[in-house]
Amino acid sequence: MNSAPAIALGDVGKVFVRDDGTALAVLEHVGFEIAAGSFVCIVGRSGSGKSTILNMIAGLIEPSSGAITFADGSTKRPRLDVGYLTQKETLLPWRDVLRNVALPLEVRGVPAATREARARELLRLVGLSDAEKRYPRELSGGMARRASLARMLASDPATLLLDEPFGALDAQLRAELQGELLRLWQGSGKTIVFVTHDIDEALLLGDRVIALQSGGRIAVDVDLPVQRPRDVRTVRFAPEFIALHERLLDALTTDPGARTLSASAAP
Amino acid sequence: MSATLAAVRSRRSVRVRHNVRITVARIALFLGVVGLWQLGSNANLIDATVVPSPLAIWASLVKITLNGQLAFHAWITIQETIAGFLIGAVGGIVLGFAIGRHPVLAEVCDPFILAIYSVPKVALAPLFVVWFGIGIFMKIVLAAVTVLFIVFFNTIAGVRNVDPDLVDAVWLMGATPRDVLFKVLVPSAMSWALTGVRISIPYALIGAIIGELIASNRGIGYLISSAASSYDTAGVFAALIVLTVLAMLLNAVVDEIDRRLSRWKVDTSVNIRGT
Repeated sequence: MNSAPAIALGDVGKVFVRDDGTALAVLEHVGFEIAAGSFVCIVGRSGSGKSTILNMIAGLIEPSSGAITFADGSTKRPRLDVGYLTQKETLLPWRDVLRNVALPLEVRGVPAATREARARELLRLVGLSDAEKRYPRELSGGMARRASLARMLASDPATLLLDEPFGALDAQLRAELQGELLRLWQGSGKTIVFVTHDIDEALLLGDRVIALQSGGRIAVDVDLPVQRPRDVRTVRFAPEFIALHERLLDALTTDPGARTLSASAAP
Repeated sequence: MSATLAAVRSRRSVRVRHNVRITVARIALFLGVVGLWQLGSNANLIDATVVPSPLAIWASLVKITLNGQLAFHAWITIQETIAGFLIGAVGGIVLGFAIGRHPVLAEVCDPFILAIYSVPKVALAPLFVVWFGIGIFMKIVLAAVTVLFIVFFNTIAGVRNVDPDLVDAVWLMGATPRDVLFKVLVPSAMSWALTGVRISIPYALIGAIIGELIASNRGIGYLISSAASSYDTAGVFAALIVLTVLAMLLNAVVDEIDRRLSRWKVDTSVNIRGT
């Protein structure tokens, strides 16, 4: 990449203080750059600190050491040009789908007519046009995810952060929404950081896969041979992907720190 | 298609027939009990000074309706209930938000609030008589205090139970603290506060009636106590019937509020998610 990276993590560390006063180092000396317009997948087991990295990029928590810098040189967060989709559904239950999707624009002071038109357009894009008057309670899991996806896209952020966004869905629905996400991303020029524990998902979606071991140690950082669109059914049988799958699985299962960490990290 | 329609229609007609049967059974139960009661009274099996006959109660009810007493006293009680309810509900919500938004303040106040909440409000009535006299104002205060604590408790719980993930999500959109307050905290807490409001409506009536029973010269509570003090049990029963009707009207209002809120509320709506 010739331009500055969209996001640069410089020697980032994060220490949480437990209730009993002892410190738990979740991340130590984590450093990598994310190229603008790329689709980067971060895989790791629970406790590897992958969600913590995403929360820090979003600005929900501050790193204990090091810095996270964006393309414009700023370290200030939250940023209006970053969208965040968490695993947990955060649609506001007292707003119907349309008003939920329009919320990021409402917060920005966009006039009602404009933001509603934009929200309708997005709902059509994710196939939810018929559900705009429904409340989150009245949506199925897949529909709620689509609505959240539309809400994240409402303000047209340049960078999307996704934290195991499809982890709670059944396999068919997950595949469907993965395809949807790729369709929305391709040609958009948006940068995506996608956190998952599913190696298949990372290999299917990403341009680049980073495998994290406990403490945020980067075990594998590899660019994938880009052949898009990829097909779930064929991709997993391609020799280079099988080799990569092996390598990533090895990295996640032979994690020297995993045992001690998972034993001590229980809340 | 037409088969389904027919099935729906026949299911509906079964439902209607069921409802008619239940209604008929209810009327039969009512008439049966009242009829036996009247027969028992006629045969002097029931002491009229203890339990008057249904006809005597009816006569008393007709009397207070025709001489305007019923309307006068009922209207007083309704005014006290509504005024007390409104003051208590608004006060409870405002106080709940004011204290709930400051976690430390809420924690400091907690035991004191709980102490005041635990006191049966009836016990405050004599004090309120001393402070506010025996007029309508004292009943309004008693009703308001009862309502206020119920609404206040629910509101403060609502403010404390706002889902932090929702706050985070909106904050990440670039929301100001003001946005977070009015787009997340207030609507989220309002569902709790309104639950408190809903529960508290009957308590407003209880507060007003108790105030009237303790010291008063007006209202349905007064009607009951004055009839009782002159051994006019038929008058007591007549006043109790008026009170029952009033309470049922209030419950209907509560049900209507419930129905309107139920669309997105957690506990009352049908959850089709994850099926």
